[in-house]
Amino acid sequence: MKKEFKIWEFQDLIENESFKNWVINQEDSAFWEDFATRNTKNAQEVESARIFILSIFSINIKGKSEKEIISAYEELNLQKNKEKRQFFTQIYRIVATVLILGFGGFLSFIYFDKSNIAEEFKSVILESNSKSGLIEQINYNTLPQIITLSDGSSVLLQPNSKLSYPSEFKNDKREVFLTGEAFFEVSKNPLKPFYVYSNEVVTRVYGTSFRVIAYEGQENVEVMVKTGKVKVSKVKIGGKLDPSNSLINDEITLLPNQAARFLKKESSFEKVIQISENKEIQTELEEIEKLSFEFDDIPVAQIFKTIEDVYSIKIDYPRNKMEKCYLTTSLTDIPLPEKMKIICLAIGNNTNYEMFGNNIKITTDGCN
Amino acid sequence: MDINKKNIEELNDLLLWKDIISGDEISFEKLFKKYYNSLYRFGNFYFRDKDLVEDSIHDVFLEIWKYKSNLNPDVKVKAYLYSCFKNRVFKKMKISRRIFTIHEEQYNPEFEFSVEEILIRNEYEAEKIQQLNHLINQLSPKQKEIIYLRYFENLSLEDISTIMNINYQSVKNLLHRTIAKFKDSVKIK
Repeated sequence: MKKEFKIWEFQDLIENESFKNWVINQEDSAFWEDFATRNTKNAQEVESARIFILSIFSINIKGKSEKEIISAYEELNLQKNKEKRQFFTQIYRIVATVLILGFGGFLSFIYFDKSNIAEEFKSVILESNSKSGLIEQINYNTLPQIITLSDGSSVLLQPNSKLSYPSEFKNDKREVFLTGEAFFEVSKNPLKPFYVYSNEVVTRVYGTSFRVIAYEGQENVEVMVKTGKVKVSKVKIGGKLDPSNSLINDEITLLPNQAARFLKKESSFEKVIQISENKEIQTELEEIEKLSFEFDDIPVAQIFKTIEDVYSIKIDYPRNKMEKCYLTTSLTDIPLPEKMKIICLAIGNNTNYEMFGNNIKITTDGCN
Repeated sequence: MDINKKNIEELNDLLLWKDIISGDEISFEKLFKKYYNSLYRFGNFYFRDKDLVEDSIHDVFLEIWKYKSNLNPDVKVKAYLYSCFKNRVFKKMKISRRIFTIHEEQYNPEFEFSVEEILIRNEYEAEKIQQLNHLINQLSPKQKEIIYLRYFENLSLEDISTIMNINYQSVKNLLHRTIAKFKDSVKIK
């Protein structure tokens, strides 16, 4: 700042940050002391302005302590969530009324037979089926199958598993239904939480990667988290498909490298804190959880190989053109389509990808 | 450098604001905690009713969360918060007016002073400051408000015009007139 060449008046001084800093915090003192002693006009202006600033900053208004502010926020938080819950309950009531009108007998049977949780869950699927027309995908192969959802999330469906999902996520949430085992990489969208319904367990996320194991006939349901934050809870008995209800239920929050097991018999959760310390769960993890997608100056061919192995897909690319391509990138916690997009962007030169089922085709002009 | 510091501050607020609009609770909490005390101080300076001030801050943030998807993504966050807060307090006062009569002085902000002795060099200076404090308290409510916002809160004239709900030129004139009052009275002889 060219302070020297300006004629400083009272108002200039009191509005100058550096001047204020000098008065209040004794900073920049060399400059201002020198300035004040140059001539009597300066000295007077500086002294007046100094007194003015001191006077303003001697206002005594006590703020609240940090603790008080935190409790004020808690109070606000409580109310803000209460209003949200009321809203959901209302919607739920309307939906419920419509459904009872439609499926009267059938539904009331399930509704009152509260002991039969499995039936309950089936009805949940049925309900959703009839509402939105879900796509049902069953993996009969021996290798995992990749499914890309309309929001860009990817699901790695294990053999003998079934995923039901809508062709497009409408409404304010993303809901899918799983029987068997799958690894999810959910694209981030705080406005549309992602729900996985598997037997009696609801898993709610906003954008993360995790695995759900819920085979029919298997004793327990397991949820394991790789990245991000996941919340699991029971599907409320008699409550139908209402995530906001399950929020009130005992809900467990899982952080990366944590897992929860739902014991069907006892109808309760068992939280296994550290995956890496639990051998039983360790063996269940597939390549994808153990692998890091942090690439540091790695040939693209090798990155493709890693992706091929992890997702059990085939990537077709012009090998000769991409021989000299090296990339440094972090692809952890990103759904497959996004991973491909980032790689293509990083390579540049008209690089694009297309995905057909388990095959990806790359077109490119090569590397710089 | 200081100007940049202020810009970064505004930019940070704007980032929080945009996250709030897309439904991020953590940013919402951050903004609340960041501005709680400055709104609280401003409120107590202006209205002196602690309960009213606390309730109003609560209401403003509750409404922000409730209507987050309809919020304007490009605002001066601090000025916007202050002006919402002030409107909310007045609204609450009007409602309670049906029951109680509001005393004039509740609108008249009052500066309370407590001078930190370390900053004052000598008795002569202390006396001067006291004189000035007295003078500040003689100002009209609007003049007090502008002094508070401009010099204590360090807000720009543009932001002040939003908060005080008067146009930019009027803010400039008001500030100029107010400062002129001080200029002579603080002159060192």
